[in-house]
Amino acid sequence: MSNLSLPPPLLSASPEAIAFYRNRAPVSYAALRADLAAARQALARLEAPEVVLHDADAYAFLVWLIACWQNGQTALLAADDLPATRAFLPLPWVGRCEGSVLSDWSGGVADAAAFPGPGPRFGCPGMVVFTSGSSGTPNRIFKAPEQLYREAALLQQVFGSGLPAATRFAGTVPHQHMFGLPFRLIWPLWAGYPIISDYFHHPEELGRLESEPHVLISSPATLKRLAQLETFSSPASFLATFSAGSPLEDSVAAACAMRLSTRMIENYGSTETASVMQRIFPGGAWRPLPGVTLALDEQGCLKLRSPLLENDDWFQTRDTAVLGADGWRLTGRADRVAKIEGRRVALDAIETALLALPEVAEVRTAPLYRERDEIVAAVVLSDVGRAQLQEIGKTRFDRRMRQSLAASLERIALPRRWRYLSAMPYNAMGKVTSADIVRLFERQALPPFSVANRSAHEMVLTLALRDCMQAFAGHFPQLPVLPGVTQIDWALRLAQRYFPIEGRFSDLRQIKFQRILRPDDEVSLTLRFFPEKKEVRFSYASAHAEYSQGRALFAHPVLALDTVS
Amino acid sequence: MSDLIDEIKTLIIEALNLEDVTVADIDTDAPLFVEGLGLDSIDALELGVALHKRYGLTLSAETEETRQYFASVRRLAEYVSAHRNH
Repeated sequence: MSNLSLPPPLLSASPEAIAFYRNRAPVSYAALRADLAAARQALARLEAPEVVLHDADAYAFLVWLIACWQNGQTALLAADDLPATRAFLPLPWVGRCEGSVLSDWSGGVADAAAFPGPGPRFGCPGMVVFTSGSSGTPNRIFKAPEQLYREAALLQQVFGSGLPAATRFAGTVPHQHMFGLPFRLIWPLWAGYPIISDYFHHPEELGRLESEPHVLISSPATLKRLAQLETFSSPASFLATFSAGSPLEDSVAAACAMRLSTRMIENYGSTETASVMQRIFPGGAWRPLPGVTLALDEQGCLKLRSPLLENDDWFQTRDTAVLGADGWRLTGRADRVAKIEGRRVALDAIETALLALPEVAEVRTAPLYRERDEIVAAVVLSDVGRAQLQEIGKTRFDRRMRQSLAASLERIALPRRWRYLSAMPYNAMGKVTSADIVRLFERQALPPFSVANRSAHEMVLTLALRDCMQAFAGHFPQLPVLPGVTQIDWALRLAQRYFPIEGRFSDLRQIKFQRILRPDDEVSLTLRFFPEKKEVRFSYASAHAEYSQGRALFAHPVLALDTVS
Repeated sequence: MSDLIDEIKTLIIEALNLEDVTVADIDTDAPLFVEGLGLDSIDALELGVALHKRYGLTLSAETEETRQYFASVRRLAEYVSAHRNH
């Protein structure tokens, strides 16, 4: 397998030519080749066909990656080195990170003359990237080196003509995903442009770049902030700025184009597809890369064939698009289109409408398909929103939110359930999955029950515990017992359902758990309401025994901040 | 009548699986749809089914008359007490 291709400059560039800038110091091709030779040796000694690669230093990362491929090893890219990620990937970890077995290549001989060296000794050069799956489990996506090199060649073909050989590539995005890696590292490596290894967290750091031509690889997250930096200046010239990750707003693109005197280009692609098409601001339509064919399926979703995919099959996206006279326009994400009682509802439209409200700082919506289809919303409130929620309580605030949206959305699209969070549940990949949102709305189900006896202020409910086994789940494996908190939750919810209780739950008193409740216990719940005291007394009992009892107090006015209930 | 009003409020909460809404939260005289509780057309269908099961009422969603009975919990209670079969 000596036919493994390498980016041409690795073989042909003169030894003193500059491949990288690392901490502002130039790294020559001779040094890069020596490091690659050493890294190959160190990696080969692991005798592992698969390794996990994580290194915050882009230069070290790229050396490890190319060396893996030369050895015929597969590198799994980890977005972080958190304990959960390390447990999820029980393989040798390589790079400067927690739990690494190979944090540098000092174990190998750094000899540029030993580059490129012998053919691969393991079978499968490549890399695995993970995407957040809809179920919450990451999906593994394999990429062969040739797929990345082909992408680099296409990007150079389309965008390289105006870029002088000394153009430096700088990035404000990490290099471990399928935008940062091909755009920041593989493309310039393939085409021979020097790469700036440092990662510019804050847009103002771009002011420290030297007065040379640059290409900037960025994202709306950074560009949005850059657009607000009115005093920003940089000696660098930015020949082109690429953005990807989420849609780039026209106003942000315009502000950045002016601030950086740059050509703003938005990239569309995904981990699965690699880069698909680009558009140039202002107002340009999307233009597919050479060899990419686009079409729409019956649902109006984009599908594509691409030389960057592993085969020639159509790849179905979940993004909706239309083909206009001047080219493609993306109109939304189809996995962001829910079917609610047979009607199509665009989650993007709901979120846009919510974000326009002064009460809302951040929002995610999801469809929930249970007894009836409905939209649910998880919201991070603004200061204004938090103050209102505190003032009027969750029920009235929920209602107010629905009313505020009613002017811009059809009724079926209005969220029926709300959670107010202090922060969105971002996962390690910086995304909020639909599954994470849905999880916020899972509620401990009530057991099936029948009302045995009822008067205005007292009622007896017969509970069928064995038909509500989920309440016993995990508690405990050998001995299912109904948790005390669940007993209290059921009692309060049923009391609020049947008695006209004013105010909100405020306190528990005299809670006694006398006997454990098992699934086979035939138990009834007695609820007694004392309106003048705003108090509910509950007791779980069978014909033979008492299980638990307590008093719940309710109070007006509402002062507590309702969050996730 | 006030017992029936609370009963109907409970029925609405159960049938529509309204979260965080208690009997005390539902204003007896506020409109059920659009303003007030802000129920939608699917809620109207579900509520119709629940009223039919509980009280044997048959509502035709199309008539102006039905629309009036859905105007508030009080109107609904009046309608139920006049027309219930069981």
